Amino acid sequence: MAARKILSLAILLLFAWGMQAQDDLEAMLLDEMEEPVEYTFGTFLSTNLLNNQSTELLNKYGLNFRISHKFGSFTSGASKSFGFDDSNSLIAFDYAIADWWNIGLGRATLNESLNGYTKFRLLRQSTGAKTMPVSCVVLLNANYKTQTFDDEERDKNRTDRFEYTSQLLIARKFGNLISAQLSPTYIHRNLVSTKNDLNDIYALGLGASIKVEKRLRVNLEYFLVQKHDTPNMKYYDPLSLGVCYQTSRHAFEVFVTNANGITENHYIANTTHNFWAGEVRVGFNISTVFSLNPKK
Amino acid sequence: MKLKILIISLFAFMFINGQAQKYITKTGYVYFMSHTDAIDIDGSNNKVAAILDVSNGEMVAIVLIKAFELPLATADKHFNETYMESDDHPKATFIGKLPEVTGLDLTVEGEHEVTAQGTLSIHGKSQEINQKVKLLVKEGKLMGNCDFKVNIDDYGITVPEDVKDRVAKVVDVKIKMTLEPMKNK
Repeated sequence: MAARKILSLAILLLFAWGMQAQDDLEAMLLDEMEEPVEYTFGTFLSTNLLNNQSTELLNKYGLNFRISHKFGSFTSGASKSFGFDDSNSLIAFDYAIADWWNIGLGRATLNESLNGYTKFRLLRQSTGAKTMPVSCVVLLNANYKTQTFDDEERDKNRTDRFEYTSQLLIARKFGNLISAQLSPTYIHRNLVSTKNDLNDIYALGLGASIKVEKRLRVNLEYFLVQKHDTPNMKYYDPLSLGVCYQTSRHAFEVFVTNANGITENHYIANTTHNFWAGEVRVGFNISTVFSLNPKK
Repeated sequence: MKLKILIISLFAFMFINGQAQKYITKTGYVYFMSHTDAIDIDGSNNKVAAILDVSNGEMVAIVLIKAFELPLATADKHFNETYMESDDHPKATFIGKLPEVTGLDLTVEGEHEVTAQGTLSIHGKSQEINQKVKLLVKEGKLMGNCDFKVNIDDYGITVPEDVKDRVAKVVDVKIKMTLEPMKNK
């Protein structure tokens, strides 16, 4: 009798073991799989927050055609259609040499300048096998004034036409709803208007993006700029508030801001309007992405 | 005495059962193509993990969504954010059976057509599927090959109205994987 008991127990054990093996097939596979590195996607919807560039980069072979536009200040009055008579714009091309490296060239109407930049990623936010709390991107921008100066000496001088902006863009996506960006900035201007103007200006950008819907976000952006007022000119910190909407290949940002300039050296260092006095204007960016991938 | 033999053979069976009955891969390949007149969007992933127990035909496959590579600029962001919502649904799985596998002699090289039956889960939604799979036995490995179509509506993947003509309703999927005998640790 004992023998039969042992036998039935053994059969039961075998049966149970077999069952367990089936159930555990998925667990076994999960066990075998190496933990992947999960990169964070879509910290921001487009390569721009509002004025500021974001930590988003185009993928390799991506070509972005971007138009940024700003109207005049609302406070300019009815005779100027509350600012909509005035405008300045930037037409730019951005190209991705690699997933981590973008370059761009543009033309801004303000100061008739050429604007070139290089933007590369140092760190990418990820979880899993490699945990990285933030994405980190370097943006180096050079702005060259092509305008004609009446002063002949000034007009001949080429190097004095350059202004440089260096930014470290540090961003983190918190969950699925909110992303934030810190942008420590250093601006160097080879030549400034008066002796009282600073050649070097430091600033700290603060940006946030809040998801409203899959492809619609509210973006906020503020720059805390080193005080550089001169006896004749008072400068303000640029504050911008707007929305970003994206379709399959287009991105739109529409916002109100007190900054007039579009290129970094200008909107950070040369904002002479006060947001809180209502000296705001409407700005927008439109961008279209093309893929130049030879395999497509 | 008889009993002893029986018990020993039982344990021996258990032992054998636990060995070389399972085939595994961690580098399976999956490719998809969304073809529309406006644009072709494709992507591939070569980190598919799959395990097949040939003793009973049970199979599990896991595809990590974020491991897809999409060559089109910015497409990976849309794929993850707008369509697959990979933060919420990080993986697609197949849990099912290849019942005919149990009847095959896997020691002989050759090509077979078998059926995969089971549950395909994508984007958090599951569908029962029944799919022909080409199975090639070569050098002790099992090479599975399968082409099928996925209707994205079945898996609750929605396409925004303004891009309806740019994303295919039915996406072509190709799967290729080479499963090797699993070594017991």
